[in-house]
Amino acid sequence: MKDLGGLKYFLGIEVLRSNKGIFISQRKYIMDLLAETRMVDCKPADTPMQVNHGLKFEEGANLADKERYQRLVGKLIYLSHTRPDIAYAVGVISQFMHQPQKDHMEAAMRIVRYLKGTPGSGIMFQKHGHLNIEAYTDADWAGHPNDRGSTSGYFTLVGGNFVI
Amino acid sequence: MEALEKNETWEKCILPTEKKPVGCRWVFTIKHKADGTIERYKARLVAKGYTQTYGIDYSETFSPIAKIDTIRILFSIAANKNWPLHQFDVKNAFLHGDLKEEVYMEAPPGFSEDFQRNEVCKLKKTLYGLKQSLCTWFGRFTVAMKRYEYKQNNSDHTLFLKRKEDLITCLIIYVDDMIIIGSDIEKNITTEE
Repeated sequence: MKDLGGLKYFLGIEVLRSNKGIFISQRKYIMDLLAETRMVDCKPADTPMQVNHGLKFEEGANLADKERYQRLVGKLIYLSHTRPDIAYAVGVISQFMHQPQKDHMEAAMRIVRYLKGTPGSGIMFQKHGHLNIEAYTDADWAGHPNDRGSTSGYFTLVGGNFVI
Repeated sequence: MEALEKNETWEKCILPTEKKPVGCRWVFTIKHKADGTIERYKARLVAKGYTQTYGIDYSETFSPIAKIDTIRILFSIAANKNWPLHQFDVKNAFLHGDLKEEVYMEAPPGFSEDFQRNEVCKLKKTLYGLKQSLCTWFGRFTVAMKRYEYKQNNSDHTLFLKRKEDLITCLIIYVDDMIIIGSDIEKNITTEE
């Protein structure tokens, strides 16, 4: 067994420790993703997704490259570990994994363009002087254009820091 | 190869007629650091586990994969309590597990001149790629941790906790990577495992 000292890099997640707290990010993972999707020089997007995107299955729409789509979305899901800001957008596009269409691929690439503008973002764990558990949730009733499905969301704080 | 021999991973023997050996191959990787510079070159012998048959070559499989939620919760606690974070790594983790089943493997590529015709490796220790390797390694790890008075958590089996009065040590394992967080980090847990 080898002591690697202070925690710096674990499962593709970079960990930084300072007197302000613990910061985790996946900067390198994002850089690799940009290189792989040939988006290193793309124009960054300000948000991960269009407002009122209305994404759904379009009858007879052109299909996207399924394998490429699934690989990309898989990586975006892994990135959500340190990027709750893309979690909703990733959740939406992952509904189309089994038969991705051109619009869905466009939405996925939009997330990549958003990441291009904010590769260094992550989660900061700070000292708040308590270990209380707080949870928040909200729901959108029957919002899905295809089947009137509902969407719910939640997040949990432990000790004042976002955890789940 | 040195590590494989030192550990007595296998012994040479003639393949029994009713048995089928699993294949194996070398995997060479270049390990990079977080900033992209080369850390070291690595060679690893892996068995072609996908040729194994359930019930004959293996019976139990399980992977100790840490939950990211657990890790984030511990980060939050560590930030609030000013606990240190430490990282450990287990060298050749899978080569430490004793193999229960009888598994035969072909001679490793590049070393076939050391073997006679019909001669194969009878595996004594688990190897990367074998279906049961992770399960065996984690089983051994759990037993060792319990010997050091760590308690395995019921909600996340990769989390081990040890309390000593008001001091606590938390250990999370992800296959062969470990994070240790707590008010009482035992730096010298053991080097034997």
